[in-house]
Amino acid sequence: MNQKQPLIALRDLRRIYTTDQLETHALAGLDLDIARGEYLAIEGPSGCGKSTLLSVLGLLDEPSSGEYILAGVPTTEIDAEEQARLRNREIGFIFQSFNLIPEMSVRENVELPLIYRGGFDGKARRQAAEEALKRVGMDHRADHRPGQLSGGQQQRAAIARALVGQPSLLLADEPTGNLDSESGEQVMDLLGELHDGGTTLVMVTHNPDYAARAGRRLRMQDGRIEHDPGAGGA
Amino acid sequence: MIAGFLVDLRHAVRVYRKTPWQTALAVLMLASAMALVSTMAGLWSELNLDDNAGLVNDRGLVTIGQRGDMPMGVLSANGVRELKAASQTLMHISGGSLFGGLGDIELEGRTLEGVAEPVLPDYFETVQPRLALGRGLTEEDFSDDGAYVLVLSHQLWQAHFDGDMGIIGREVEMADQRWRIVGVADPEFNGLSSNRIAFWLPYRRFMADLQQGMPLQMVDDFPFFRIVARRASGTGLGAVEEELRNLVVDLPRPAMGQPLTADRLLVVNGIVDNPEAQRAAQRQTNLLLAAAVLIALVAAVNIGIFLLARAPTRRRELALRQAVGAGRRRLAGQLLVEAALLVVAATGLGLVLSIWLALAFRELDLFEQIELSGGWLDWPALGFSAGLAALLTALVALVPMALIRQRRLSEDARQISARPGRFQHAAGLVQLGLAGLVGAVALGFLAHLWLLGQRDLGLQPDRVTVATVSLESRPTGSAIVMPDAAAIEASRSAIRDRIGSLPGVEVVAFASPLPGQRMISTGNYEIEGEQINARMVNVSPGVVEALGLRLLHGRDFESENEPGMIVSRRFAETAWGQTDVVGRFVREGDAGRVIGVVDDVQFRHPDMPAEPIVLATQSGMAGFMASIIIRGRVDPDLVEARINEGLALIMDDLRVHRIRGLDELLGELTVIDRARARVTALFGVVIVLMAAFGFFAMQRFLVASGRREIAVHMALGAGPSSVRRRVVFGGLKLGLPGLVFGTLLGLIAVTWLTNDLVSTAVSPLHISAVTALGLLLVMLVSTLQPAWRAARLSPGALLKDP
Repeated sequence: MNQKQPLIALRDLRRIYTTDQLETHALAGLDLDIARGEYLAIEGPSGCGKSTLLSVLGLLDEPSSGEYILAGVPTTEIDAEEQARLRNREIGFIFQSFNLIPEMSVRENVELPLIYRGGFDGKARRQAAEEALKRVGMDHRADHRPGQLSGGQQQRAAIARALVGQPSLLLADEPTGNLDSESGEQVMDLLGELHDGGTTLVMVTHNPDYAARAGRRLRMQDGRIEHDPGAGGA
Repeated sequence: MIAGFLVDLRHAVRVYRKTPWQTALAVLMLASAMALVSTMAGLWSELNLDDNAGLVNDRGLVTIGQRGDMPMGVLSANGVRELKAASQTLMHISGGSLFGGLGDIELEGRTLEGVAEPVLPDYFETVQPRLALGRGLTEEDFSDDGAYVLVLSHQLWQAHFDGDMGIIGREVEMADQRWRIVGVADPEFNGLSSNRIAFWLPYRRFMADLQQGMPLQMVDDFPFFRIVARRASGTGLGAVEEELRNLVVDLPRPAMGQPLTADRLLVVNGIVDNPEAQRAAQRQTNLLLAAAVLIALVAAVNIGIFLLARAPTRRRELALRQAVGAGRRRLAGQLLVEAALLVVAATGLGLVLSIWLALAFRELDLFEQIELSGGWLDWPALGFSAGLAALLTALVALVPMALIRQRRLSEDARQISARPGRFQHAAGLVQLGLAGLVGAVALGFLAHLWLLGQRDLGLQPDRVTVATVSLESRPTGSAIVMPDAAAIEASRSAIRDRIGSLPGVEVVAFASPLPGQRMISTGNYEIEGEQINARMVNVSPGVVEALGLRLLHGRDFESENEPGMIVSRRFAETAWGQTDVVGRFVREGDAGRVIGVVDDVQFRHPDMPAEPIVLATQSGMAGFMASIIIRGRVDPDLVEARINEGLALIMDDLRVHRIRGLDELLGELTVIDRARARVTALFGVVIVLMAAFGFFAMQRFLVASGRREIAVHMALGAGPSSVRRRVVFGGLKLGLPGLVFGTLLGLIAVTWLTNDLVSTAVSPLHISAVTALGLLLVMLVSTLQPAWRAARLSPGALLKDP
């Protein structure tokens, strides 16, 4: 793959929510390139479209119009199954509320992306999950249920789940929003380490200190990019 | 309290108005179930609890009959007397003769309509009818040297005697005798018969004085009575039946017909025309009522689950109510009011539906030999329906209460996954179990019906048309002047000419009775010391070809009134141990000589063994009433006109009653089986639909509650097909115990049915396999929509932190 080609390219991307009486422009024509290995923080007030942008980037939401190219694949031209495969291969998610499945052990949660990818037998899955958990310092909690872990531990397990498939892009939506400051710091340090290891990281955050750790800070307002130092080759 | 109730009621109306289609569907489903329940409860009540308003006391009154073509006992007066002397379980036993035709008998110069009920001694003590005036017949009235006495019906008293209050003791003239009127029956009492009874009189008097002087010796051995009895206090129906089974063995053989045997004997409560049909109807109604109640219970649980398909919203609302101070009791009250509103609406609609359903059920062949009132619901049935409605209200309310567990609002908002709990597992088990049970029974009956249709009845009904004839508008009991043989022959010849000349007609013949026609025509023969009771069929030449009988030996008749007999294989083998019996004699003389042997023909239910049959031109039913059989393709309207022209040569009012295919007539042999299969199939379809709906609602509930988990899976790379598979497999896993349970219940039920109601050729294992496949299909179909819905979820919105 051409390393100079951006990992993400958005062109006039729009997301409009329509009800009987109202049309809301959550994303009002975005143009954005994100290079491989970049660490991007998205900031902005509530309702400015940060999370919608993250959902669209993660192929969890369909844009109403415009173009979104991920790793060279025009995502608006592929069907839902292909999108799911692309999501599984290229994207890892980290959510504010962790979204671990409570009925499964930590290891089983981490193995899930590999189950959907296919081609891994049980042993290979287990090994990959244990490696991912080791990376986030959670290997000793592999057989615990999420309910038995602290918030910080749950988020680290969620990061292991995001990492296990070795995606080219990590999307983090307020990853420290439900954590105390100590756990928040640990998670941010971990994300920093991952970026240093070459992972592309896009993070939505309200916390300016954490945003400051990113190489590029993008500010949104009313569905538009209000400030982007990276725009125009910055 | 009332204010709180009104608030809850207003809220309930608002809740239902939010989802009008779901609510309408829920009401309709429960209404259908309630309609079935109230209809079956009405029928059950009528068949089991119906009071006879014409009796002083109907407790302990039983009818003694038998299985088979002649449902009423073939006991003679002597047989009844001996039974009475021997029985310990019966206080009284008596009967009314089936031969009460009044012919053209005049009472004080006016021709009587209706029939008399000639009764045996002890009749009034046994039946205990209400009397408007006077008394019933006492022991002295039955002595041969006693007075000639009558008890008038209320209708005859009004019509002939203008309701004369001084009628008791008055003497009237009838058949050259003076008869003293000793009583007048209550208007509600009509004896043991469904015919209109004119009066009651001692049986021996009737037979000796009104029936052209039958010798008394013969009278006492003459059978055909409706036998009724009063159970001794504290004696159950089973004990009576058991005792009578032992006693009938020693009873004197009647002058006609087959003697009553232990295996055919039946005792049922009340006065009934056909004990066998009554008992079958009671049994069927019991099963159907139980099935209807189960359907209603399943419907109620389903509605509870269905309403929870929007559980996340409801749970949030209830959690908010808790947060602002509503206690559990208050919430339970609110759910109860919501449930009651739904159940009351459904019960109301169900009762309206049951008006139509009750009429439809009463028209069913299943009850064709049962006297039903044609009414709708009585008080016991209404009470039962209301009680069940109250239970359903509690059930519909309990389901949400069981599923909406107490939890904090914040906790609720964080819920990721929804796994089926104990309740869902139990509901799935019960619903699929019941669907398997009723579905397998329905399949069993349908398979039984199909197998019956494959039986060889001994004739070929393709392209055969049968015209039955009747006398138009003659009052019951009217005397018929029998036409002479020449008139019948002329008529038949005319009909043959007129029909035979039509294009496509191959042969025309006459026969009576035909299979499927419920006519009793039997004769006793003694051949080489062997007693043979055979069905006698009056036939004409051409009958073998017309009906497609298989001629084994000899030939068909060649002319009308030709002496001789054609016997069936069973007859030949029973009498002589072989089928080649042409030239042998059934009785002395040319008329008794066998000219042909045909293969067995089934005149009774195909499950019964073939009976010996004798075909003759001069035996059995009166020839002039024989059915016309036409082989070939004909136009029914044209045929009817031409036959009527020929019938007019016998009697002016002899007409074609009905024209139909022989296959349709043969269908009469299995009419009860078809009705039973239809009704059971209806119940099966309803309960399978309910189970499918319940399973569907449960899957929707689980998908709705577990949307966040599905979104997580999607975020991790699960595509739409993977999500669909996940939901479908989850559904199958949930339903698997129900599938096994339902299949097992079905296996047990069909095995049990093959002992009695369903042919043993129906394989319970095969039925169970089909049931299992059907249940699997139900589960798959019910899961598809929720699975598709799950695959279309928008994970982006669901994964946002609340």
